[in-house]
Amino acid sequence: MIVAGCDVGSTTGKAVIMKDHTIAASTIMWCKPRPEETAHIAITEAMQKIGLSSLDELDYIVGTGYGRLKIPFANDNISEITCHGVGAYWLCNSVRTIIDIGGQDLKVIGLDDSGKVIDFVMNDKCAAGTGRFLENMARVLGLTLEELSTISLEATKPTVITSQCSVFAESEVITLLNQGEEIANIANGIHASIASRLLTLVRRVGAQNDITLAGGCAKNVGLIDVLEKRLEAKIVKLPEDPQIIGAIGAALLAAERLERSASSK
Amino acid sequence: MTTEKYKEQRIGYEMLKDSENPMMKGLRNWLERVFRTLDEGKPIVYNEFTFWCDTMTALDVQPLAPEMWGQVPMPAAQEPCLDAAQDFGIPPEMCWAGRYVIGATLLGDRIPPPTCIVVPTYPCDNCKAAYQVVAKLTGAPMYVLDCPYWIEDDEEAMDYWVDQYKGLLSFLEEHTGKKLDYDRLKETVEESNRFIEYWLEGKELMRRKPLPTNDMFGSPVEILTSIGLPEATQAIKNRLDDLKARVARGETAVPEEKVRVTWNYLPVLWSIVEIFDWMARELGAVTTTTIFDGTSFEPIDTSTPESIIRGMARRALHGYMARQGRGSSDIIIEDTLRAVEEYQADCIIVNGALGCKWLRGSYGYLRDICRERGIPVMMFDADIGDARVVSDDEVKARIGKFIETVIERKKRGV
Amino acid sequence: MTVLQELAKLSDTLINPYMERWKKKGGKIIGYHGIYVPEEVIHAAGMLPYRLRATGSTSSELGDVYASSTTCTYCRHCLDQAMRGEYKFLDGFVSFHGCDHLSRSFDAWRYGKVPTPYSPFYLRFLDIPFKINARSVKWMQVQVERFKRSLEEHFGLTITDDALRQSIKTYNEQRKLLRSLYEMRKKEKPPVTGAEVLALVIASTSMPVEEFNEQFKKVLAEVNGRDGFKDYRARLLLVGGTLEDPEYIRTIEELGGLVVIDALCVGIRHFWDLVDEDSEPTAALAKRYLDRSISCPRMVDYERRLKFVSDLAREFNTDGIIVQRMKMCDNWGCDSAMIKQQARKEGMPCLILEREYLMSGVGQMRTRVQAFLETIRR
Repeated sequence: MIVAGCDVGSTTGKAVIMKDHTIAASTIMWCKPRPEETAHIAITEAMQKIGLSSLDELDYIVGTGYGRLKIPFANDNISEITCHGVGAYWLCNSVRTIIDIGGQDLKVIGLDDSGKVIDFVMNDKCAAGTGRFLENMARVLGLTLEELSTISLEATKPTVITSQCSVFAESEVITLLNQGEEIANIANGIHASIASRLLTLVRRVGAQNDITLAGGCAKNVGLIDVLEKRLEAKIVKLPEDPQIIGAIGAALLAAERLERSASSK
Repeated sequence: MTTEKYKEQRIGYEMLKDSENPMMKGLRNWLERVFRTLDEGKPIVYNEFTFWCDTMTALDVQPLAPEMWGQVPMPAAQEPCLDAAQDFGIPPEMCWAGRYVIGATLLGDRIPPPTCIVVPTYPCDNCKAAYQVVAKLTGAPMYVLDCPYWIEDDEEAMDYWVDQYKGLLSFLEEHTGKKLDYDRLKETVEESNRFIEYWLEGKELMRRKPLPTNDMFGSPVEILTSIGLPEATQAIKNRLDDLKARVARGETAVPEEKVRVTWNYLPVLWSIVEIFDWMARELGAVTTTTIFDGTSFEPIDTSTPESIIRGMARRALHGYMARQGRGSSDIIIEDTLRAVEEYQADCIIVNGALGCKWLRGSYGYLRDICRERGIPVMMFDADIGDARVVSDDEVKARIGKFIETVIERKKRGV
Repeated sequence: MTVLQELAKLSDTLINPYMERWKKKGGKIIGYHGIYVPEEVIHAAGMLPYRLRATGSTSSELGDVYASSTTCTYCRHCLDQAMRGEYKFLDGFVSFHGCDHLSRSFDAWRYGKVPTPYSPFYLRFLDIPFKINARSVKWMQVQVERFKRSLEEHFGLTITDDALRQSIKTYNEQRKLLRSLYEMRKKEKPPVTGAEVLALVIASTSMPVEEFNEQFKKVLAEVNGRDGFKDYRARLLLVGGTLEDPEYIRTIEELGGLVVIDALCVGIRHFWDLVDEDSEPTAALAKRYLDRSISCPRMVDYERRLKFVSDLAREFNTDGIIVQRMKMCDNWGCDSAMIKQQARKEGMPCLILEREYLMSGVGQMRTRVQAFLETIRR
C-alpha cells in the first residue's frame, strides 16, 4: 500500500509518501502563487525521489493545510489540526500538546491519551508571533533566520518587546538597535514575545506534557530555549523534520481511509 | 489559616501599614477586618464595586468588594487572574473587572470564597455577566438588584427598585444567619448620613479656584468597605479637616494653576496618583473631579423603617458609576456638563476604557455636545486595569499634547 | 420555486413583497429588536411587527460615528442602516435594554441622528426586567400595558382585550407551526437544514403573521414529503445570539455538520414558548415574554438557560455543540464559556466560534469547523 499526504501551507508546500506505514520520501518547497501548482510540484518531487512517475501509482492521497481545497489530485481533505495530531502522535506517542508555528498562523493542539484531538486553539487573525514575524525581524537585524535563532542563546539581558502588533514591534526593535542594545538581547526579546503569545494559546488548551513543536520555527533553537524556560518543561524533539508532521499525518490518514473503504466493501 | 492564602493582599496590607494617607488607612482597616472575619470563619458577602455596603454594615456582616480586593496588589499580581479568565474562554475585550473576578475565583487561592453575592444590574453587562459566572463557579447564592432603566419621576419604577432592597435584606438575613435590627439599621444610616455630609462639604471646597489640593475628594473607599461605621465617618471627617486647614492656609494644588480638568472615567487604575501628580507638576493641569464623583445626595429620612429603606434605595441610584450606568446617555452627558460647570473646568479628558462598552457608546453624543458648547475634550483609548495594553508613557504623551492645546486656547481667549 | 424557497428568500432583503403590499394597503410597520418586545401588542394595534435586521449592510462607516471600536458590529451595522435612511419604511421603532450596545445605539434615534419618515416619530424603549420572579413579572406587565397605551396615544387607536386575545391566538399558532417543523429535525434523516430553518424563522418575523401561517402550512407539507438528509458527519446544536445570515450556517453544513437544532436568538429563543390563552392578556404576555424556557444571556437565570441547552442537545441527539458569539459581547462571552465548561463535563464536544456581523475569514472558520467535526468523527 502506497499513500501520500500533501500539506499546502501559506509559505511552504510539503509532501510525504508512505509505503506500508513507513516514510519512503518527503519534500519541502517554497509555495508558488497558486496552491494547485505548489501541490503538484511537491507531490512530483516526492514521487521522483522513489522512482514513481504517475499519480496513479499512489493508492490514496489526503490534502491538508491552508490550500487543502485546491489540491485537485487529493482523494480527500482533512484539516491540518487533525493531521498534525495524527503525525506527531505517530512519531512520539507520549506527545499530548503540539505547538505549530506556521508562516502566518499559530496553532496549539491538545491530544488525549489515544492521540485523538480533544481541543485546539488558533491565532490566525494577525501575523504577530508567526514565521512571517520572525522573517521580518531577522531582516531588520540584518541576520538570517538561522543566525537570529542561535544568537539569541547568547543574551545577557533579555529585552522586553511590549508591542502586541508585529508592525509596531518592528519599530520597537529598530529603536532598540538605535539605542545600542545588544543584538543577542533583542533576538532573545523577539523570541520571548512569541513565547508569550504561544503561552496564552497553550494555557487555553490546557496543555499537558509532552509538548512538541511543529512547523518551520520548530528548528529555531533560540525560540525553543525561551519556550522551555517559560513552559518549565522540556520540548520533545520529534525524529522527523518538524515541517512535515502535517504531511505525515495526512499520509497516515490516507492509509486509514484506504483501510476503511477496503473493509467496508 | 488565611496567612497562607491571599498572599498579594497580605503583602499589600503590610505595605499600607505605615501609610498616613487616610484613604490607604481605610483600605488597610478593611483588609484587617476581612482577614479577621476569615480567621473567625464568619460570613463574607461580595458586594459588586458600585454597590454600597451600608446594608452589610447594618447587619454586621463583612463586605468584600472583589474589584477593590483585586486593586490592593500591584497590576502585575493581577495578571494571572486576567489570564485565568481568558483561559476559561472569557474574551480579552471584556472589562478587567469581570476578568479579574472570574479569574481570581478560578485560581482558588486569590480571593476568599463568598458566603453569598450581591450585585445590581448596573452599571453594565460586564458585571452582570461576570458575576453569573462567579455564582456558577462558587455555587454561592446570588442576589441581583434589578434596576429600572427609566426611574426618574416614575413612582412605580421606584417601587420596583425599593422592593429589590427589601428582597436584599431578607436574602442577607437568610444566608448570613443575621437578623436585621431596625434600630441598628437606623443608627447605621444616620451615621452614613453624617459621612455623606462631610464628603459633600469636601467636594464643595474642591470647586474653589485655585484648587486647594490635587488629591481629588473623590469616592471614598469607605463607601464600599465600611460606610455606616463611626470609624468611617471619623476618617472622612479627618480628610475634610485636613482640606479645610489647607484652604485656611491658602495652600493650592499647584503654584500656578494653568488648566482645570474633569475626567470621564479615570486614567489607568494603577498609576492614577502618579499621572495626576505628573499633570499638576509638569503641566500645571489640576484634576478637579470625575463624572462618577460629581453627584450630590439627599440625607436619608430615618423616621420609619419604610422611609429608611426607600432612602437607601434612592441613594444607591446616584452612586459612583451606578447613576451613569443604569440609564441612557442623557445622564452621562448631564453629569459631564454639570461637573464642568460646578468645578469650573477648562476641559474634559476621557479615558475610553477599552472594556467599558456602555461608556464608550455614549462618547459620540458627548463629543457632539462638547463641540456645540465649545468645551475642549480629548478621548484616548487605554485599558483601565490591564497594564499590558497601553503604556503610561503613551497615556502621558496624549495628555501632554492635549493640555498644550487647551493652554493655547485659553491664551487666545477661545 | 417551492414555498419554502419563496419564504426563505425573505431573509435576503430588508423589505419584501409582503411588506410592500402591506404598506400599499395603508398598513403600518413597527420595527423592534430582540425577543422581549411583545409582538402581539403591535399586531393587536393593527400594525405589522418587524424584527429589525441590518441585512444588506456592507459597511458601518456612518454608524461608527456614534459607536465605538468596541461596540458590537451588529449594532453598528443596524445604526448605519438607520442613519442611511434604510429604515424609513418603519412607522415606529421599539427597543429595550437588551445590552449596553443596543441601548447606546437607541440614543442615536432619541437624539435625532436617524432620519425618520415623519416627526415626532414613534420611539419606545421598554424597561424589561433582568430577573424572573412573581414581582418582576408584575413589573413586566406594567411595561406591556404602558407599551399598549403609548401605541394607542401616538397613533390614535384603541387596543381592546379581545384584539389582544386574537393576536395571542394567531401568534401561538405561528409558534406551534414552527415547533412542529423543529420536531421533524429529531429524525435520523432530518428533512430540513439549519440554514433553511434560520431563513424561515427570519421570514416569520418579516411578514404578516396570518399570511406566514398560511404559507408555512404548505412548507410543512413540502418538508414532510422530503426523504431527509443522511450524508452528514455530525448532528449539531448551534447556539448563539442574533444571526441573520443563513450563509453562516451553510458554511458549517457544507462541511458535513448538519445543524439539527438551534438555541439562537433568531431561533427557538424567539418563538419557543406559547402565551397562555386563558389568562388576562397583558398578564399572560408579561409571563410568557419574561419567563422563558430559554432566555437571552442578558437575563440572570443562567442555570435554567444552561440546563435547557444541555437538555436540547440530548433531546435532538446531537454529536456536538457550536456556540457562535459576537465579538465585544460580554453577555455571550460569559455564557459561551459556561456552555463549553458544561459541555466538557458532559462529554459533549463543543466549539466556540467568534464572529462579527459581516462574514469574513471564511477559510479560517472552515478550518476550525472542519477540525471540530474531525474530532467528533475522523
